[in-house]
Amino acid sequence: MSSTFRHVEVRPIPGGVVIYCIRPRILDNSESHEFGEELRSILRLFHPKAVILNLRNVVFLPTAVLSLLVTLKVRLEKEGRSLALTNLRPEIHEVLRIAALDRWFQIFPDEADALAILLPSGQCSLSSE
Amino acid sequence: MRSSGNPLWIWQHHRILPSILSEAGQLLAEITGELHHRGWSERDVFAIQLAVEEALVNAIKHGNRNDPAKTVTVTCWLSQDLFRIEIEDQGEGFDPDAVPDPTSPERLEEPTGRGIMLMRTFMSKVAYNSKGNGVVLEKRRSGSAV
Repeated sequence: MSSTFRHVEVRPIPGGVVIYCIRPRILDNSESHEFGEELRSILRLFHPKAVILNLRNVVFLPTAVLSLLVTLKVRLEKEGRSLALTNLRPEIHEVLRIAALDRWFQIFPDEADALAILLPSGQCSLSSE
Repeated sequence: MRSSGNPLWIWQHHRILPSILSEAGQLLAEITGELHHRGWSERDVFAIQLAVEEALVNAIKHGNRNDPAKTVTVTCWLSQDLFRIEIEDQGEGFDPDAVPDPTSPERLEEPTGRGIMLMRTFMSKVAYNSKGNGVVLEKRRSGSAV
């Protein structure tokens, strides 16, 4: 079962969540603020060990959103959790490469690849918090 | 800031924006619409959109500090092969050369500071005025002669 917010849809999986960005672009500050609030709500609601952010619908990534993703990864890793980005369009990957973040973020072609690395079977349990 | 050595402009636009980000988004939509209408590639439009969005947000947030009494003056031109935009805020300006390299390993975890570097990478030219409150961005159409 999935939950839908304004900017994202969430699919809980054992030990984590897959977050689908459903809007192709987040342009202004109020939207990026909303996006950040939604991500924080998801962390509070699901307490995921792993967060897989599927960016297949994202065609534009302003630095306001990039900042949110950097902050999210730093926070998760401090708490012993992990973040992966999947299904990046080439132009989004290019932005990350130019920013030297393509090796700093864990980036996978798709969710299956990310799951295999982040949540190998039997190591993570379904969060009930 | 004045433009020199102008090519044959086929579209021009001048706007004085309030320091409201949604107004910048509307202008950005008009610019990208015009680029699409003129047949610019998705890759070029993406680059221009990213750079202009960054410059407008910088002008409103960091230049004018979201002060509704201050404005951002925007003028843009389009020729067959060149997009140019001038953006000037009413802030105190800054020194773009003093912005640290966001790709250095010790700064990768910093959430901010990547906008200018991305603008410089994606555009053909990025030039600030001496005060640092105005910038000219140019993008030459992919495949056109330099």
